[in-house]
Amino acid sequence: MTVLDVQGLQTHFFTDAGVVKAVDGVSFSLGEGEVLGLVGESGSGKSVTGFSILRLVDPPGRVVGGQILFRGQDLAHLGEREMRGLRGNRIAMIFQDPMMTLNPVLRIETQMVEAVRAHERVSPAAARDRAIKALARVGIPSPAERLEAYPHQFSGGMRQRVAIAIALLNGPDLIVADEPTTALDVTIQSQILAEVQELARETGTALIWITHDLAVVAGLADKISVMYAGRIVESGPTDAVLTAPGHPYTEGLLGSIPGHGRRGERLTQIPGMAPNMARLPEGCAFAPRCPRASGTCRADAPGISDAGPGRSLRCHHPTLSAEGTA
Amino acid sequence: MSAMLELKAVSRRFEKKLDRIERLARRLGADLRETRVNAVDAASFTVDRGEVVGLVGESGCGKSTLGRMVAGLLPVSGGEIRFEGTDITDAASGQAREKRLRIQMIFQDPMSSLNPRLKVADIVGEAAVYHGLTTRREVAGYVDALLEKVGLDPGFAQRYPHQMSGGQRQRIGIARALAVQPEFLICDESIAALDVSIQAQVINLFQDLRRDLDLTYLFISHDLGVVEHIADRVVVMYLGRIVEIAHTGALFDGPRHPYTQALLDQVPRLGAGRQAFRTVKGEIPSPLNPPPGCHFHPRCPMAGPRCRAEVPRMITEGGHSTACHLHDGGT
Repeated sequence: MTVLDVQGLQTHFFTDAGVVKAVDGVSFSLGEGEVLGLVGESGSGKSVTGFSILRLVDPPGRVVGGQILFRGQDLAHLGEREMRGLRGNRIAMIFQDPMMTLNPVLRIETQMVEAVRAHERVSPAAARDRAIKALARVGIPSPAERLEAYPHQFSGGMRQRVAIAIALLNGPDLIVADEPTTALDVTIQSQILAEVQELARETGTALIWITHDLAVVAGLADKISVMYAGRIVESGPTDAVLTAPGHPYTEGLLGSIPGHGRRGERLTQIPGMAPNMARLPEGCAFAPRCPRASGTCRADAPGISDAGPGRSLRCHHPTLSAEGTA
Repeated sequence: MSAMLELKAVSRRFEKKLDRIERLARRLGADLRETRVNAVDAASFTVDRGEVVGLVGESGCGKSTLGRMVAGLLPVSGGEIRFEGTDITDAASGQAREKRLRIQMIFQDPMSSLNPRLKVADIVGEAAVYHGLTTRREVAGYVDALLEKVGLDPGFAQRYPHQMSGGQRQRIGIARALAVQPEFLICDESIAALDVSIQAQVINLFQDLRRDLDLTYLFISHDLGVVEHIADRVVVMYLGRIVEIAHTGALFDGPRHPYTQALLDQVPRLGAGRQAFRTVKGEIPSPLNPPPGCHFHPRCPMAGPRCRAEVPRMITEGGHSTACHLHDGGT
């Protein structure tokens, strides 16, 4: 069953330098227990997409178009009161830096109990029980004692676990995770990935994993969407996209990643740099960096086209034929 | 052949001494002790001319501290650093100063390592003029040539750091290091803050410079993929100690230390399909209070009684060094 169906989402920022179309026509959908990897470089609009779903975009930014259907309900037009009822309850978010999201002067217990009681009339003792269970589930040893601690008494990895436990408190249908393991060490990252993977499988929670790291997504996500300059340029099942990328940008990104038995060889690099979002070029935003760009690319922005089972592309000259073979 | 850079049991301790009040409190019975961290504990390795040595480890393992000691930015608490046979352990000595100019460092965050009030021309040219590598009259051309070398338009010379993107700023950081014509570059997480596509550009630049200018690198990174790509040999650190040194191929194909094995196991990889993420148990212990014996034993699946009591020696076999009891008579 579909948990989230985003159609043509547009989030624009109205700045002095002009309108920045941070998210411009993003569509995807997500079923129960499904993990979507939303991949892109800085400024591609991946985080703004996540924030838009929770309606956490601050002025001068605004969701100006599209639908965000969460279990059939359009979040884009929901009242602020109803939205508050959903946030932290049916939809939760995990941020990159848990030090910024946990209140440094409150014990973990206070913060967790508050998160439960904000949405449900339960006794403090019952809320505390639920907090202990959530902490145990994300692998925090002796959770009952750790509830007494303040955020600064935890290590970085443990803090991120606490943040994940808070997200899980009310058994959400959807979790939006924005670069949650980027600041962590490899061994801690893999512990958290293992736990998240198990959670999605067990509880049926749908997950949007926002990251710049294709390798993390490769091991975790069922399907991926690659963003460039506010648009999804390619999406499809993870394995299919990573083994036979259809968009020159995806192909370039994969070529840029070192390791994987190409020791010492020259990396295929994408020339140039990310475009200025306030002054995007006409046509395809990737055209100035694209090896396959033609006159058409510089004149017309490509629409979404079908590219094999479950796959779609935004490209005039894909590296992949419509049958899904390279 | 003698090594270009040689580290012999180099150590760095950070201490927080008790102040007068705390000393008094201790005399009255308070449980106060001086805190001491062995950030780097007797690290020994060599770097040959023309080689790229990768230094890897997780946060807090001492890899950056080690890099800073080699660059002369941090005094050494113990041991000896030799560069081309000359002792440069004491950074202030005359002979060290001369040699140290040959060693330059490139930092992680170019925004905080470039002076925001100086134009690129001054950032890059200042040291070269000071050291007499060019004159005030010719410095403009000198800077232009350097900018071209790192793939930037000479027009950038008149810009300020904030007018550039992250990738361009990092190129400025590289140009500044190259300005004094070094032979040895220390790259401390120099590409960690960059986007993937920009990262690839800078890695390629490092490779080109190495070939064109005959450079030697000490490449410090937590990203094993990058190190596998660029390094000839790899040094692995854990909690201040070196646990394994080997040629890149040997290390990635057959890691010998359980920590290296765990680390390699956990790197998310492309092309591995849906991965079941395996994990090392536990957290990285606090360097303030490291476990006795082998620092890795509380997290090690192979640990035995000897690991808890005895610090493992470095055993070298066929150019592959490991500090683990498993390779030294069992645990």
